[in-house]
Amino acid sequence: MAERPRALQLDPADNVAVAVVPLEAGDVVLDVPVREAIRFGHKLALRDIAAGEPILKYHEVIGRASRDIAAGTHVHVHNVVSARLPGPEQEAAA
Amino acid sequence: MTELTGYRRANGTWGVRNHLLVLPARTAANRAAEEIADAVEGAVSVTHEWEGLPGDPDAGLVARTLTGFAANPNVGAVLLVGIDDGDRPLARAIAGRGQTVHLLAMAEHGGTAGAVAAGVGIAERLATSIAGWEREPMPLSALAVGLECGGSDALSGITANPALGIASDRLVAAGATTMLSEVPELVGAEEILAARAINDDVARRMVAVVHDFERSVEALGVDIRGAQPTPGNIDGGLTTIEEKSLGAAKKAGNAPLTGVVGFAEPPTIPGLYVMDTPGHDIEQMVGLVAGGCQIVAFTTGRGTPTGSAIAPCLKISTNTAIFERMAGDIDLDAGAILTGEETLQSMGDRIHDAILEVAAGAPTCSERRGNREFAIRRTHY
Amino acid sequence: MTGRRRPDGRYGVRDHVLVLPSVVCSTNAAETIARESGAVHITHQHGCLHVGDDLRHTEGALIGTATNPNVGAVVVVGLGCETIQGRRLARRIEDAGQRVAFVGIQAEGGTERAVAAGRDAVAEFRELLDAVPAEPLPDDAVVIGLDRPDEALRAALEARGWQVVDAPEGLSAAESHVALAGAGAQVIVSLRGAGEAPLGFAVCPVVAVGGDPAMYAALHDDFDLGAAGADEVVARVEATLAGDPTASERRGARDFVLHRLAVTM
Repeated sequence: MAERPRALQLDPADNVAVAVVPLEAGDVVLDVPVREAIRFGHKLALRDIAAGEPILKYHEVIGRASRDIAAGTHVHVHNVVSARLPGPEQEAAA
Repeated sequence: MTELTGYRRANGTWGVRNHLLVLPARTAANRAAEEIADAVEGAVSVTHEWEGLPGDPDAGLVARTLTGFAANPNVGAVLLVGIDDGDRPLARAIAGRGQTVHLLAMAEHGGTAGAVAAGVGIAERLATSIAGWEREPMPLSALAVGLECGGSDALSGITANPALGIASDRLVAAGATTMLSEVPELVGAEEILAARAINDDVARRMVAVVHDFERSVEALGVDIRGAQPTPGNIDGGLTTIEEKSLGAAKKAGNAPLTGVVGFAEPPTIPGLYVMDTPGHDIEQMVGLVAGGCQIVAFTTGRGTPTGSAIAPCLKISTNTAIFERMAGDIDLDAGAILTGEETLQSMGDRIHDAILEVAAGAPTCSERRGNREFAIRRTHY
Repeated sequence: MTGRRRPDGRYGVRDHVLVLPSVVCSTNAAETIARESGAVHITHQHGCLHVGDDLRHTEGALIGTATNPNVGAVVVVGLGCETIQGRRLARRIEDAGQRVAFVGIQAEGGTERAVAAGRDAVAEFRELLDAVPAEPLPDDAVVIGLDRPDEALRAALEARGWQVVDAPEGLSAAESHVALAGAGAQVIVSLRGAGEAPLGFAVCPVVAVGGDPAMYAALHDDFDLGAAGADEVVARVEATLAGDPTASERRGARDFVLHRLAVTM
């Protein structure tokens, strides 16, 4: 029987995947070593993402990296800004 | 695969159910309508807050909504319970859509008690007459399915919504209509949907419906983009409004966008549509059904048990925990994608098949529970 | 005249257990609970996607209905722990001194289990309330709500030693019933005008006075009085206070029309 997926990459072009179980540093998902804890429903980077680069999910831009993001680390409001309009969390982080 | 069957109505529309609807024209008739429906086997009623006061700026919108709801082809006949001649225009509008409607005016019966006594007799006769309708093979082009979600959790855009999108694409490719709604959760997805529009006019309307909503919210002093995603969404893993909206828009798959319609406005040709509705679960459901949807497919992260008195509501959970916890309120579990039991494609196919089974008569949980939530959409207050 | 003395010292002239859905999505469960256990309930379309002042106002209206002195206990039915409103509403009702139980549909595990839990809660409350004897009702504990201003009627009611509350401005008569109940009125006098049909309210008897002779004749069974003088209305109010059901109570009318401050999102 196939192993239950622990993270989902929704499109082959995506540079993030969504954790569908809590992930710990040292796990390996989708051939990517996880570098820090990633909560259920949260995203991890599948490759290094440079500041300013688009975050791709569903093969769509869901935001831009506000700083360099290392593969296997948490991708969320602390390192992503909306490509359309910044939210209060991003403004606070900037 | 299930053959699609339905009831071919005189006006050319097709129903997947054959309800006797007892509809109050205004709030003062709520109780009478409810009592009549309770007393007649198979009759359903709704309760609402429309007083019908003169000079109400939303009168036109509400009339369109009630008319469309009553004219839905899932309804074999309508007993409209009103007060007096002031309710004749609504009865005429319903009849004008080709629906069988009888107006019962409480003023002709001394009030509620007399109206209920008379109404039960009329409803029983209507019930007998619609019992004569029989199912026939129904063309897919006559089927319209509403696509709704009840609040986003982390998994909405990952499991249930994309799976529903696969089902939606299959239906649309085969000639059916599906309708996405809830404009507040398309903010950030409007360009993607506009890019799929079949022509420039539809593309413009798609962008405009979202921008118009944002402007109306700005007038209230709430920056919707500062409030979306909500703190709860962010805690659950959604980072930006476009990520949330993109997840919501997944319900519409990848099909071309045939049009953008107003609240309770029925489309004229089959295809994928966006209907201009608010995010309120029941207001959007009423809008979709009043716009002709015979079935509503409803993805849910938190497990809401709602439904419509006249349209089956197929509930799809985003995660297995909710499916198991709310047994009896949810029909399908897209959380099976996470357990590996299903792939997105196979789950999408399951949803597609379930929609056709429901159309052919299989009851949903909402129908078994008798959910009959109803809401009046207002644009003025 | 007798009434039920409440923990906060006010008196109810009815002794309802109210099943109150905190949100439109729990109205079906609430209705089922009420029907199966003989409680009263309201049906509404609110609690979903309000913002700011409109949210606070809606919550206040529901709390006001729940804490009306005619209500001996409330079973709030919500969706569950994610829907903070349900639990918060129950807590705020409790903080106001009302007996309350909370049933969360998700927490219980779906509609069927929530209905069973709600039925049990109603039964417990009913037993508790039935054990409390009625007491003589002091005149100064009586609050009558008027959904339209009427000086002569106000004077006649006040002459009995009763308090009179007027409807807030800017609301329809039906919308004012929610406000009058929230202000503690045990009986609402609804002065219906031209072309206006009578309404009811789940937790308060509504004395419907038909000022329009045509409407009064046409909907005779749903009115309590036709064009009546102040003294006649006062007599009908007194009978209502003493337990005589109004037309609205006899037919089980439970109209709930909520004044909103903003459209739904």
